Amino acid sequence: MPAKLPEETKVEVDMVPYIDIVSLLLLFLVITGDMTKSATGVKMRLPRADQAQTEKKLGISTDGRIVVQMKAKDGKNPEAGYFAVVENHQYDLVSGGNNASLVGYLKEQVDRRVAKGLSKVGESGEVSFPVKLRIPRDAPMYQVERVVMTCAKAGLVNVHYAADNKDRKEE
Amino acid sequence: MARKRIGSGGGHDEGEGGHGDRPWVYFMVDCFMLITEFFVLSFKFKTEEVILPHKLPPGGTVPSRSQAMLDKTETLSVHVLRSGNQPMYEVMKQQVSLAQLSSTMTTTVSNGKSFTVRVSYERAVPWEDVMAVFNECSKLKIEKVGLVPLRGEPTDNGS
Repeated sequence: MPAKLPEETKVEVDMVPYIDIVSLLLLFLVITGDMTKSATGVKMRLPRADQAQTEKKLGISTDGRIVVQMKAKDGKNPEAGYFAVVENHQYDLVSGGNNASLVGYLKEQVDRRVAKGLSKVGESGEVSFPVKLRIPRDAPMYQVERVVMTCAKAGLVNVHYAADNKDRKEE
Repeated sequence: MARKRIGSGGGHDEGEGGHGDRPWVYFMVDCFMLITEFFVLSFKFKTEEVILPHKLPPGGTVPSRSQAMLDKTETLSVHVLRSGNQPMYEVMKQQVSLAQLSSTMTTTVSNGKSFTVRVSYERAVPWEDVMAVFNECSKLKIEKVGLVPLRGEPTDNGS
């Protein structure tokens, strides 16, 4: 004799409060989340500088700011060199900041911003809007110099060095 | 989510379930779930990164000593190097630590002169050692700080 299956119970989920809760959760995530992956996408340990402040506290504008990051080619071996990362594009760093494609890309970005009226071009080709440089604290200076020179070649002389101003124990 | 579809074949006919007349509710809930899952998985708190603003001289490097003399500005040269595993700063022909550099710079700048700080470095010196000089300059409100580029830097291997 076949076993009698229990009677199917009707389960009803009230959708209205469920959707309300999910909407609130979504709203929270959208507001507090950081979707600007390109601006701080490369994880790194920044150099310490107790004079560093947020742009808000310093009262400086970030309009039209370009972010250039340095990324180690091999995370385990800093000697392998670094890339410059601009808006998810990677560029090799060349002595004297002479990577034509990176300088070209930065100049293109500068021209776009100048066309929008964000800045005028100075006598030596310099512009007033800033470039943020995110450079790992252990990057050797001969590599850092290449990034700085590249930015200068593109007219980006107003530099914001990303830093860490928190007190932390040295590892 | 606990959800039970009533009836055979996944139908949602009128009278069989709570949303029998609105079958699209299930798809909507599925989409909501997927969107929420995406946000939860890719969620990262906004962190306000701090910055140290710095204005590079046109061209990116500081004017030469002779140009600085023509401009009638005082220059203070700081050479960054590593001794053992410690950063050392060569200023006024003396090798000093960062704390000593800070006090030397404070004394020099308090003379009321307008200074240009020229920062030179050895090629393998880490960025944080040079950033420390920028930080000191920022503390002393010295705006004219520039890097003296390395001479003869043809290779990529740091040698």
